[in-house]
Amino acid sequence: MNFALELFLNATAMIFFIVVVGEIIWKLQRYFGGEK
Amino acid sequence: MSIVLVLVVVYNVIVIGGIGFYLTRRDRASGQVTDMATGGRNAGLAMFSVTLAITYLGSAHVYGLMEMSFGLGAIALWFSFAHTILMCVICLGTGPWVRRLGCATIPELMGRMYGRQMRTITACIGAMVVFGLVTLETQTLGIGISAISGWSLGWSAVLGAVFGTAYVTMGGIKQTMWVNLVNAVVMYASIIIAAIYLGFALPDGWEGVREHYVAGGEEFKLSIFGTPELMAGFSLAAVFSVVFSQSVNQQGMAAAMSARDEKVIRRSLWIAAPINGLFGVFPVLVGLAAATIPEFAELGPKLAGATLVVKLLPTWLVVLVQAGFLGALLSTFAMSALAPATIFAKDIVGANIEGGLTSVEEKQLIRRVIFVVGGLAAALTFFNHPNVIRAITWLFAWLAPLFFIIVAGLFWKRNTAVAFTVLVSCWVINCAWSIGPIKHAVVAVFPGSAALENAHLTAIVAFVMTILLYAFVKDSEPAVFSGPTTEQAVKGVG
Repeated sequence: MNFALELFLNATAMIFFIVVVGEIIWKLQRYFGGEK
Repeated sequence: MSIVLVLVVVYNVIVIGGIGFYLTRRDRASGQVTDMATGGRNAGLAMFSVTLAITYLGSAHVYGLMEMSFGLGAIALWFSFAHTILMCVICLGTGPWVRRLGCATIPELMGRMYGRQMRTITACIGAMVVFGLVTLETQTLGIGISAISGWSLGWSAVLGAVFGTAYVTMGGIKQTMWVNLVNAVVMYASIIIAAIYLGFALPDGWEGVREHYVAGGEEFKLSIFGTPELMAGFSLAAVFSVVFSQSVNQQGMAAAMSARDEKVIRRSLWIAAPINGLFGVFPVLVGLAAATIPEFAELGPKLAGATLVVKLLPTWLVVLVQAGFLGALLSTFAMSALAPATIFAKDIVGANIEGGLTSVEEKQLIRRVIFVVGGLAAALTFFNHPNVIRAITWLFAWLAPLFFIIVAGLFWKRNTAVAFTVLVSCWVINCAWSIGPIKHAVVAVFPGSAALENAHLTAIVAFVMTILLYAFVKDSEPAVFSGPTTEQAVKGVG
């Protein structure tokens, strides 16, 4: 695969991974009675 | 004057002037005065997401990433990933909190939690820090204009300050948001086209770049995870400094305070994070490519990437890329210039005179202070050009302790004496760590402390002191969000 495209896809995956982890942490703290 | 500079200036005059003219006319027709700092608190999802994303795309993303990837490789993208984590913290944490309390500035939030004196103290330090950032943004605007025009950095910075001041004085945050929306489209279209074009313009295409590093035994430079040493030394440090220092700064919070409601801020994470994070791919690719071509590599990390863009791309594409870059820099300058002006008008003047300022008086004062800030920044940058990254790191160190005091006050407990002690201790330590002989004396006793930057030190000290002092303090008020409902919590703020 083209190197530039590969780097772009890797960065996209990493960014969405961070966002999903952030959302999960936020939902978990809500589930356990934290900030709404 | 070069044709590229003329076209970039024409683009900015049309976009900034056109939108400013439209918003002024709309304000006059409706007979309302839009608050410069909050824009009427009605920003929707698209406008808020783009503004938040572009506010945090400044000089370090544009020129800093090219320079970092030239030396470190693709791991430089962790600077962008650190900002993605920052977007999570702002969109799911600090942003909704300040929006819920209806504050316009961070000192106002401090004042509502810890009293009027703390508001004034935070305002004085906050305005000083953000003014420092304005001078650095002026310098980087100057670097951008100087790279296109070939003029001296001093005069280019003056021109940059004039553009930046014009950008924000015409309509405040509302105008900045509209211009951001237009600039985001132009910036992304231009860098995507440029990345595809470079695939054909580079001597051996993007595959040639990969082969160069593989052949040279530097394959780790192609991976976003680099080496374990770089992950610990660079990536972790970037995440640490960016997240703690920027998650409660005035520019980002100003965007949050202008949102229609908390839901808009939370949902914007899915738009703001990719817009902000993916921008970094292009400068990193350019830096990596520039290091493989001797003609550009010999110019050194600072100039190699920028020169590659100008030399290898056709003029029309250089104009679009530079207009987009300049748009990102102008947006950061605008939000930075608006911040000390807002703090001065609301927290230093408005909060300390009987009855406060009317909305018209406040708008006029903010506009005048922006002129003064822009003028001072231009004058200082004309004569002085300090190292941007080092200066920004130093300025961030002043803000790091605010994060811990604000989070503790919102969710744990509040005590003005504790907040004052933590802030003043961190600021004194920050000053002491900036004085060479004192730092050297400490490093001689604790050699491991040599790697600590000012921002790391103030964040660690603030974290430890906040936990310890609050654990032992006896008479404290309840946390702001300790009430069972949001309404009670907001009402309960002392």
